[in-house]
Amino acid sequence: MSLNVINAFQKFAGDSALFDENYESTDGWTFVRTEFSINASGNGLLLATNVPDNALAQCYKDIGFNLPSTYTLKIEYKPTSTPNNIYPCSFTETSTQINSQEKGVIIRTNGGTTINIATVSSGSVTQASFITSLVVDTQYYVKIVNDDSNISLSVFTGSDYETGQVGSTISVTDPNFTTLDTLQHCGRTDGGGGTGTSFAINNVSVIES
Amino acid sequence: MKIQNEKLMDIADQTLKWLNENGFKDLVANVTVNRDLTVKEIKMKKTLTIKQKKIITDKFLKTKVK
Repeated sequence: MSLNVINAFQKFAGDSALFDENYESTDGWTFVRTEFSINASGNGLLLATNVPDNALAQCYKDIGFNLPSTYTLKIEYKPTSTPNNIYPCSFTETSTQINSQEKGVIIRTNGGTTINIATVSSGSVTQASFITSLVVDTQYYVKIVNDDSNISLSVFTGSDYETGQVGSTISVTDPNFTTLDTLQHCGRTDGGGGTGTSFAINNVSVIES
Repeated sequence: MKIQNEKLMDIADQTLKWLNENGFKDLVANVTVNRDLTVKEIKMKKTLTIKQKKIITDKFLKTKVK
């Protein structure tokens, strides 16, 4: 039985998790360049180290199923440098990088310690206002909820994904994608001055809601 | 040539920046940019007054403000 199948049926107390990536293995992952690493020295993390904003650095994995019409995503995110234009965590239709991707739900940062959510489709890009008050070297818990009408992103400092909310909840209209089966972490490729961005991610979960 | 997402995101960034600087900070929900580089829609968190809406539509002539 493949790891993806095991993940697809993995259950957690209190949650019905369809998928959980704990970054303890590189099984199933593909890397472009070397700025992204998984479980380096056994740290059990996805580490982004000085990801440039003018060249493609990326890693991606097929999660083995399409995201359902309603879901909750939970992501542990820790910026370790002032983020530049980058996509720390996304679910997309293919492994194509974000700049050329035709369908995806994307977490994005852009200058300062900011974060927002965007969707890309073949016809347009929609993005929410930025949450602008994140602090470097602080552990955050990012929750994305798709209720079949809107996709909302909230950031918390509490590991319960409920307490210590940072800024307000932001949202974009749900494009009703039915073919998002790839988890990817990706840098920016379109211009920029080459500034690097660093962060850590752990425990990405997909919970059907 | 195919338009890349980052160009559209740049336009969305500029649109959000303009809105923030012109009295709409914390009122904007999201911005949609089409492949032809036009701002298709600005979705607000609450209903705007006619005067507020006019400020936006005077700047973004082809944009739907919701």
